[in-house]
Amino acid sequence: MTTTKRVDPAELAKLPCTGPSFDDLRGKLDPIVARYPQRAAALLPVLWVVQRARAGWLHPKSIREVAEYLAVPQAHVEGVITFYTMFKDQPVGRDVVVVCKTLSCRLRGAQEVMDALEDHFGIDMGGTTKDGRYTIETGECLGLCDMAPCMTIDEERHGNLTPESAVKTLEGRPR
Amino acid sequence: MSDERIRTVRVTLDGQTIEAAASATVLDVALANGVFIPHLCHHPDLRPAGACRLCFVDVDGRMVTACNAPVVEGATIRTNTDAVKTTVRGAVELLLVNHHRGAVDCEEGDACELRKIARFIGIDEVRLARFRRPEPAPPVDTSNPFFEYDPGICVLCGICVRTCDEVVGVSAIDFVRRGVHTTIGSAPGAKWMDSDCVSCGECVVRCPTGSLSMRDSEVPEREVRTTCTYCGCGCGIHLGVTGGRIVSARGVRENPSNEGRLCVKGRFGYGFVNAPDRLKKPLIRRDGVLVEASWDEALDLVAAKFTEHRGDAFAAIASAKLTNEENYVLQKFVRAVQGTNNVDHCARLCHSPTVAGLVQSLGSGAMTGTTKDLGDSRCILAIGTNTTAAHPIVALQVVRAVHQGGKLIVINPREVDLARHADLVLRNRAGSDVALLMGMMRVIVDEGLHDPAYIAARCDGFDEFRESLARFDAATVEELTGVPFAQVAAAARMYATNGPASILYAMGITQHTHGTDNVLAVSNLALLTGNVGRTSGGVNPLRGQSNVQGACDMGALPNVFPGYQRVDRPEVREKFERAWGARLDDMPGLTHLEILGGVTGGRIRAIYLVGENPALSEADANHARHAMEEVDFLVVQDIFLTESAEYADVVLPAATFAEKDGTFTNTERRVQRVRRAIDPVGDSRTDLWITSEIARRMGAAGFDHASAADVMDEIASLTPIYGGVTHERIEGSGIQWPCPDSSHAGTRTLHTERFPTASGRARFFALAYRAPDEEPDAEFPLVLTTERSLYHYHTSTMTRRVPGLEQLRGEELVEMHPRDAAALRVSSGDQVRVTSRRGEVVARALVTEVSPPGTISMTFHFHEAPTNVLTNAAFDPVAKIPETKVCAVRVEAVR
Repeated sequence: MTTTKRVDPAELAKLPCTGPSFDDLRGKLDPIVARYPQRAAALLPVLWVVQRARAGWLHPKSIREVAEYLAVPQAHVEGVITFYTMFKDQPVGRDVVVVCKTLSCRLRGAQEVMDALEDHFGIDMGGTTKDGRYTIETGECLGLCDMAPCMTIDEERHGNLTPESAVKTLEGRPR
Repeated sequence: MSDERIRTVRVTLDGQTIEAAASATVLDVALANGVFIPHLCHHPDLRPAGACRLCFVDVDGRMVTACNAPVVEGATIRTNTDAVKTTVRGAVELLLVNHHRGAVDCEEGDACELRKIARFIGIDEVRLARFRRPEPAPPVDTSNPFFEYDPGICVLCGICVRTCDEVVGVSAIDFVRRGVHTTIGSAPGAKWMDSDCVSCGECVVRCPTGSLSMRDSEVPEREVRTTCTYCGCGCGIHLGVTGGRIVSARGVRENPSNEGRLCVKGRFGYGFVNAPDRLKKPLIRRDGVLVEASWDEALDLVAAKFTEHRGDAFAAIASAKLTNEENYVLQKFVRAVQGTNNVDHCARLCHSPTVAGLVQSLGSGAMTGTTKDLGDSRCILAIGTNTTAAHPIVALQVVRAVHQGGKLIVINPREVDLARHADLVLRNRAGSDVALLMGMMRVIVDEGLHDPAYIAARCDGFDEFRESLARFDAATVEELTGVPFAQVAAAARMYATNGPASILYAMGITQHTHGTDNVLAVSNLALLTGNVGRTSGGVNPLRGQSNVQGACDMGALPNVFPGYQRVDRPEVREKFERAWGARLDDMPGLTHLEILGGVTGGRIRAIYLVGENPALSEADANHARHAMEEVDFLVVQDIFLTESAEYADVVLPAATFAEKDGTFTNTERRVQRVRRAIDPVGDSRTDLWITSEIARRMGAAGFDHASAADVMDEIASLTPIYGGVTHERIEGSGIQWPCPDSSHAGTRTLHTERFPTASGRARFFALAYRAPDEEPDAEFPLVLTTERSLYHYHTSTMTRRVPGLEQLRGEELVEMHPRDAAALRVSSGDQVRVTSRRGEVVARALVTEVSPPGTISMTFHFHEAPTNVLTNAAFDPVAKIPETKVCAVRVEAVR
């Protein structure tokens, strides 16, 4: 089984930083910053906007630009990004799939769902499909225990999964 | 705050009744009373964090962390209840099982606080073994040349993170990742070296476990307390010595100038002392080649030649790296033996406008305040100073002021590091400072924010000055400075309404053809708001070299004897003639540029060049090189064969600061001891010995001092501002001049009651804007301004012999704005040729928005790219300082 390797962190800066320039993002970011008494307080929502606009992950250049934009130390931004799982410091697929691995889902067959996805796409959990479409990873409780087992595709929720329906859902989405 | 320090409370600590300051924490009180409470994240320099969870105590039945619990009147504190013991044991055990190394068998030994704590509590490590983390320890980060980070033994106390933020103000590092994977890091995948780290090592010396540790560290056989030889901050250091080698340095916590803190050069920069290529023998030029000679041969030759060249054909260039005693003896030699006032030193190239300007306006050309007091300023205006690079320890006080809520205004064409802490950043055109400051003062006067009572009571010349403000209306100021007037006005209001306010300035103010005007503008601004004479306020020129203040104080200047006593005053001259037993010249001598310039016309025939390197440091350096080649007889006295020494007829090997006794006077006027840590390397000798020996061989009397202390006694007897200074009195924390007699404690803040002028009053000066001598034009469209790197010092004679510093910054970089780079089709790393009317230099480009559009910058640290062949030697008419900060250049890519 193939595994998409993590990019050596030292090599990340050599990858292209795709998406709009930071100046083009300011129109979206300035109103967010204006909501807070201090610039630094806007860090999480600003990172989220930048990540979504730029291929779903935070390139070292993005981190530097956000740090400068909010006048916070770069190391602090790095600390925040690496603390929260929804911020990515590695390239990801076009959509990020999170399969819940917490208790309720496990009791209702989450492991089988994961196995099926790994088999079908030929990747390990945490990997990215060869066509670059999906990064599929596991996550802690998604708060959808009433429809366990569940997963999210970016911000879409999908529940009451079976191994077959999970694969079908991913394959059936418009390309 | 002060009330809380004075007020005391009574508490019971493990059954003992104790009186303690109300501001203290439970941990402070316990440690002060000999009760050990385990703790890892506490450090007296840092705010309490309560992060390590080891310092639990029982206060009135509640469990609290002692490091951030204030003592409360009547509280009962118990450190040894069963509940406390169980809790702390659990916390220590958790730390140990998360540790990748056993504490008992750890090579860090007793340097490790965790090991001490484990033993104090009595932890059974064997029992813990099966709980340990199974995975191998993460790799050690060895990217920094001076220290390394081993995450395997890090306890995540955060002392390093907080030190970098609270003490240094850099915030290069933080906690990264989550849960058991948490570690200390900076940017994605970044090694320590790739972060904003400035390699000062302040985190390393505070690390409780040795997770951050010095590389190639050696425990010294003994330590000698002395003063750092680099910049004017004048930090106290303990130099570690093993055999005849300097192996370590650490800060002196009791030293009031640095309180134990050091920068990268001060902590790691002493490898040059034992560098293999130190000059160890005198050299004499024979058949065009410098060959080794004996001291007798060399000194006899020098004495004979100097005898031939007595009078105004002789000149000496003294050094801001020499001690006070050596500079004193050198200028005495020039005046009393050679019969000329032709003695000057590099202060001419850095702060002569300060001496010329502030003496006129305030009566004294030195920092009015004290380094430590800067941290208590309510507003700091930093103009023309890249403080974090050139005066790193003074910069720590700026950071402290900001952390205490003080305002910071940074005025600089370049976006210097300090800008990140600033409330306001004004990026004016290089050379437009008079216009900018006068614009600010006009706002202050127009809005009535000045201090009329202070001005009436203590200053002259206000009306004329006020009239001169009329020339600086909003439109003019905006046009001249390139700064929107709203920003100028905001800076004016911020400065005028937050007192006490301190102004810091350095070469960005002085190195101009109108440097003296710049200095006067600065003093006008401080006087206008009544800030001169106030503690934590005033005018603070940051002096560059370890003893540049002292070299000026000692009269290594062509117009004054020691203590700024003018050579053209008959009563002064008679005093020195009596003391020195010689006829003295009443005509001021030649300045630095005039000495080298005087060679061409045959006016100067012999130069005694001590501890200076004009081949790299002088503006229009090719001209300086030519002069050194031309002059009949050139003696160079230095610790290395510098670029200038290669032109010498005789080279005399001198001892470094680590090999001599004496004193340095730092930027805050503090006279401090320099102590001999090792014997002079090879056959080198102290400058004091060499100069005295030349004088003796010329038959002069008055050059047989038994020691440096003896010289200081002579200085004190002739120099009123040093009247009460003796080596014995300054043993502890030094003395800040003026110190007129042996009962005087020295002066922390100048001008508190009167100004040392004839009238006792300060003076305002009416000013007009003058453009730089050379402005960009079609042929040379860009402005070149010179700057400094934190990692090197001056012409790098010392710092480039420290491999780690060379690794941190190994070459000249031409910094330019992306817009200019794009126009030239240049990217970072490309070779560019920089050409001025005087010469050309090739170096690599660094594209950065730190440089403003239209202005490039270079240091002058690198002999491979000698920036000063480009700079303009046009000088200030009063101070005779060359305009190193502005010249016109052209840049082209080398393809």
